[in-house]
Amino acid sequence: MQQDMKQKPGMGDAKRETPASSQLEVKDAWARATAGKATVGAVYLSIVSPTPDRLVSASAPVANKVDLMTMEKDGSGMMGMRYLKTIDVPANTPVALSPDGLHIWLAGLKQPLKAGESFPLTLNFEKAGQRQVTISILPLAARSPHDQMQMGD
Amino acid sequence: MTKGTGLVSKTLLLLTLLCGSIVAAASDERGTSVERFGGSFTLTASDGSTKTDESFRGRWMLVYFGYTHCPNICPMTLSAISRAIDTLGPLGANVQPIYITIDPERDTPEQMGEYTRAFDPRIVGLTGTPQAIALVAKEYRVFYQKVAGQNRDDYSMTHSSYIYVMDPNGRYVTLITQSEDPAAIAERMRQLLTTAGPRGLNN
Repeated sequence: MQQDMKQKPGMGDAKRETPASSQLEVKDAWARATAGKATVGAVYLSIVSPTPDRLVSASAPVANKVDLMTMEKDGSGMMGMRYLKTIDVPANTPVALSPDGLHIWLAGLKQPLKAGESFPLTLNFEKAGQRQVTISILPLAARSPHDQMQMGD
Repeated sequence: MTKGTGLVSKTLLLLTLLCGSIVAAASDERGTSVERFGGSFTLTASDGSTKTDESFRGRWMLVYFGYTHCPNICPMTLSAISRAIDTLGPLGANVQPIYITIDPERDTPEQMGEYTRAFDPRIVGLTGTPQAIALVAKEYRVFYQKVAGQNRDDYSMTHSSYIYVMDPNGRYVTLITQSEDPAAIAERMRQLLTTAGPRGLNN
């Protein structure tokens, strides 16, 4: 069903057919706004790469510390966070960092994240090197990067 | 770092084991005469007023525990509850969402108010002394534990994530385990609100 979304390895000239995916791409990057005095936040985005790669670290001027993290929820409803050293990016398989699990964790925010604003984030990949991404800040109640619902003030 | 990660896993494992009993108890959730979760509480709302469990009699309480520094599941759950109540239309007026912090150290009444208002002004955010929070968490059998971060104020909380449904008499009715799914919450509440009498399931 999703096959047509992916390129088949070794089929034709991928570069000519889809020039945009001839290198690692980061899309749909967003962060949730923070409330009040909260000094932590989360960034979500989607990564797709034509060749296997690995996200090894990230940094952002808005935060003292940026970590790769995952949220784990078990069958009995317990949830908690776990730090990750890296996030694998398999070839031609989008990796979604989303509120369901993987995310980039901002700690020691120097200012609140306000909906409607944006900030730069640098991602460091093992092979593709650095990628500078602009992170859009969406309202606290946003559920996805395409969430346009008005959720109060 | 490795040591810290191990500790989190161990904590999760321990809490998971403890939670096994919650799920077992909740599995025959229809025994509505037995109060398995919930009880009396005295907490503080964002406007500084005191709220007890009795403050919400006459309406169905959707009780959820979390904290305002929670990056993922709490925002997803609160927005899901807000959307579910919208979906219920006029029936939604009988539902009172309540968000109780398990992080009273950082979650002052003002902080809670700023947070809940960003989702839905219908959500009542409650905080209290660490003792009062420990008591209400015990009554609802909610487990929570602080997990140290890099800086003093960056800690996160491991916690159980259920929505507890209490009927208009304050009696426990059921758990909603798919706390982040607006459709699941709306469907369960529609069932309850349309089959129950105005004063609860047995009335």
